[in-house]
Amino acid sequence: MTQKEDELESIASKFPFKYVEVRHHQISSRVISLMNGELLGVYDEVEGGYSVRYFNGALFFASSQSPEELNPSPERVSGWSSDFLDVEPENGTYQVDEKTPLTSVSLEEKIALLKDISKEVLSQKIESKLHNFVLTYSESVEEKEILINGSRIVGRVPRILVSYNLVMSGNGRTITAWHELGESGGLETLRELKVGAHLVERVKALDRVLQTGKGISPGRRDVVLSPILSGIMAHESVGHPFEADRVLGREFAQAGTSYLATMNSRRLGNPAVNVADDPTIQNSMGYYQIDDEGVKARRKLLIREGEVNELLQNRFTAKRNNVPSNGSARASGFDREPLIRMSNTFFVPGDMNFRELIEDVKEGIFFKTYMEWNIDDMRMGQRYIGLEAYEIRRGEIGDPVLFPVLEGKTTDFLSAIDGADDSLEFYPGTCGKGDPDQGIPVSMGGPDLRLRNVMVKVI
Amino acid sequence: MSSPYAVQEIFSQTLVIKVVESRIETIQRLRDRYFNVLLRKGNRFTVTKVSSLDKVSLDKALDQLPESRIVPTVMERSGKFSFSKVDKGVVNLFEDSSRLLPLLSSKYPLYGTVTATIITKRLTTIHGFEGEESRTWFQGYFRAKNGDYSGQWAFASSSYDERKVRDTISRAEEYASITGHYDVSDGKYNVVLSPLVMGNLMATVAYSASGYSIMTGNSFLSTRKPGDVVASEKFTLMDNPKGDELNSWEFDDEAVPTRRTTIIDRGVYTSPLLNIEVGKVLDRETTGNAGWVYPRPWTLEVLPGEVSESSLLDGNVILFNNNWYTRFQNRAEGQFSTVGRDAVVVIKEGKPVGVAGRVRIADKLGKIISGIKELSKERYSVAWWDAPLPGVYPFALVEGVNLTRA
Repeated sequence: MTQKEDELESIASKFPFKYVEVRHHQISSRVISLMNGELLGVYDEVEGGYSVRYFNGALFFASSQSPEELNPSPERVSGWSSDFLDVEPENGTYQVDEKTPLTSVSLEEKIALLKDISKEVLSQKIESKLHNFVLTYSESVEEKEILINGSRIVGRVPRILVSYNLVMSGNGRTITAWHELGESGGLETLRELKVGAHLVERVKALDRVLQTGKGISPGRRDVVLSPILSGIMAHESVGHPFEADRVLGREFAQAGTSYLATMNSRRLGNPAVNVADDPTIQNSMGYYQIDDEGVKARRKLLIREGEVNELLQNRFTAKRNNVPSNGSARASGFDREPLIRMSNTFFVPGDMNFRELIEDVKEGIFFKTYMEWNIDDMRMGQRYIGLEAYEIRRGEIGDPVLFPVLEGKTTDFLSAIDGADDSLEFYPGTCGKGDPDQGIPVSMGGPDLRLRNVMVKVI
Repeated sequence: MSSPYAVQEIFSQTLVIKVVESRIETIQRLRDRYFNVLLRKGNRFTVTKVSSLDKVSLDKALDQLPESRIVPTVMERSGKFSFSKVDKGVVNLFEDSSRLLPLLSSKYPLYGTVTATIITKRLTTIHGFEGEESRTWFQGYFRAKNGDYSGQWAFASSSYDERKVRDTISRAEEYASITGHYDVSDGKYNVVLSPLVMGNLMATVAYSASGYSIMTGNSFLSTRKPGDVVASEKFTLMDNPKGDELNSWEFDDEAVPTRRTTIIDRGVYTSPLLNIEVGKVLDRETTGNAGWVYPRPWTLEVLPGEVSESSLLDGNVILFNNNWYTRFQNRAEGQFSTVGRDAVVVIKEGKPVGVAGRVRIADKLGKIISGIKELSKERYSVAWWDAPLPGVYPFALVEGVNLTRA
């Protein structure tokens, strides 16, 4: 028995209850930030400690960096969660390999690489003015060891995340743009993300939007959403409302409720719509094989051919709903309780190519990137505003258009989707939920999606 | 390197009681101790966050790093400083919270949390400053559900106060009791923003006033100068860590004594929020709002108006009890939208005629604060899940606010 195993056993022995999770959880990270090609700062962090969650008539959770400080709570209550799914926890280990270890390149070399990328971006010949460019690189390793009623789970996931913020102006307009790229894995991920090429393309595209973008008039038309947009829609409009704890009301005062809490019909959209959540995708941000309640992870098809298929469940909601848990419980750190979380949520691709997707669109808009999104707390009314968007005329992508607004209801959008191409791209995100708030790494993605005859507004 | 440039230690104990459908769902006890260690040599620096100081390598090869554009700088101040304002009622709650639990009920299904915190912050600097400060926080928010309708309220206090818990639940019930659907179409309306909405939106104004946001162009204040009129003359916003509100502190992360900083004074932009190093970039003195590199607000205050909150609802207005998910389309222009939550009440001739539901405020931040016509005399100390920066706010009547609905 290792020292850590010994510590977890020792903590567990203080909690003589029917269900006890003991976890050691540590996230080590390094963040390097550059502003306009100059170093802004280097931030290292090791955040780790122990926690216990147990069920004793209600749920109790305690966390500390010192195992001896974890003790049963004095309160005796009959809780909202009155029972749990008592299935045998899995034993097992999972990890994402670092083909090129994060530590194999020195800090100085990483800074030099980011400087080179910044230099390339800042040297682009554009008509607009690039006022400010902040480039932030983050690498982290999440390690957890969990003991649940005698079973042991060990996980290790390294991740790379690159984010940027651009402030540009031209033609009397100023725009601010922010985006993230990322995957789990080692430094090979950084090469695969092609950050420099992505940024150069982005800056040129935004310059074109500022210089030649034209206004649109509001009205109904066909819309094509890129994987960046289909991803955020999969996450916000389908993933969140399919969290069973949210449907049951556990998040009502925090991250909100779900349209599924009051909806009688299983049909949500067109049969062309399929949405999945899959934590087992290698090199994804939300990768895991066994959840933090010891349940084996698997791909979940949330919407099958336009109808509700299954929700994301943990042991407690599964018991209430009389279904098996599908292994959706995760905690963001040692001092947070496991909650039902998305992992990698996406619209399932179709079988046509992009050309076929747009060829019969007579007059439409292609939303390539967005500047802002938000959604109401029942996940029905949402708003996406295009930053890089183009007109579609007679099946061809045309000139940039200025800031079209897609604002409508989830059910209307899902019903308007009549086609998905065969691409699949993922983008990283940090998903918030719970109190205290938990930001957890996820991916979101999908193919290009075609929506027929939806209302497009202007700012 | 023999010693760090500055070390900040934070030790917190947090008790979180979560209520779902008027029943206790979880009781969480969180203990967290960590150190932020700032190493600096000339214009080179690193910051390391660890749970134990022995995990920090003081021999980091700072010489190998490039110089940084902005370098955290601590005040040349030495000696010991100690401050403590710890409420026994909050401390006692950690032993056993059972006495509080019976209060967490309502005539409607009730949801929310009560959180108690004991927090100690220590700062030592290379100049010999040794500061220590301890505080207690007691805060909560409740959402009462009445079928398709709901109401929310919140409180924030530095001491244990059962009356605040009861009053907060009662206020949430009051808003939840307003029923009947009323359709609102896209357009401009006079709206009344509750202190919860003010808490959410004023935090974005305050972060827009951070020198870092201004310096990087990510603020509607980036193109404005102190002395410019940016808001209604009725509107004064300040960062006030010298009072009794949550997140009040006596010294900042650079050992600078905190102070009350007026950001906007009767409509006139007065001061950004600064630390020493960003102050230098903007050619201004620190305001005691460090954050190493990133200045930030502590706890906000909007000065009260001269009318009662009920009189703000006398005419034809839409009352926003609560909001969430504020997102910016364009930080440089302050263009944002936020989604109404809970009782968004349509009021005609002073009487509620129905609830508009989850409509969106889609406007510019500068336009919202310029459109303030009246503020209530009554103010409330609030903080909640989607407006975590504490503050004390009145109700605000704002003219001509752009609303949209999905």
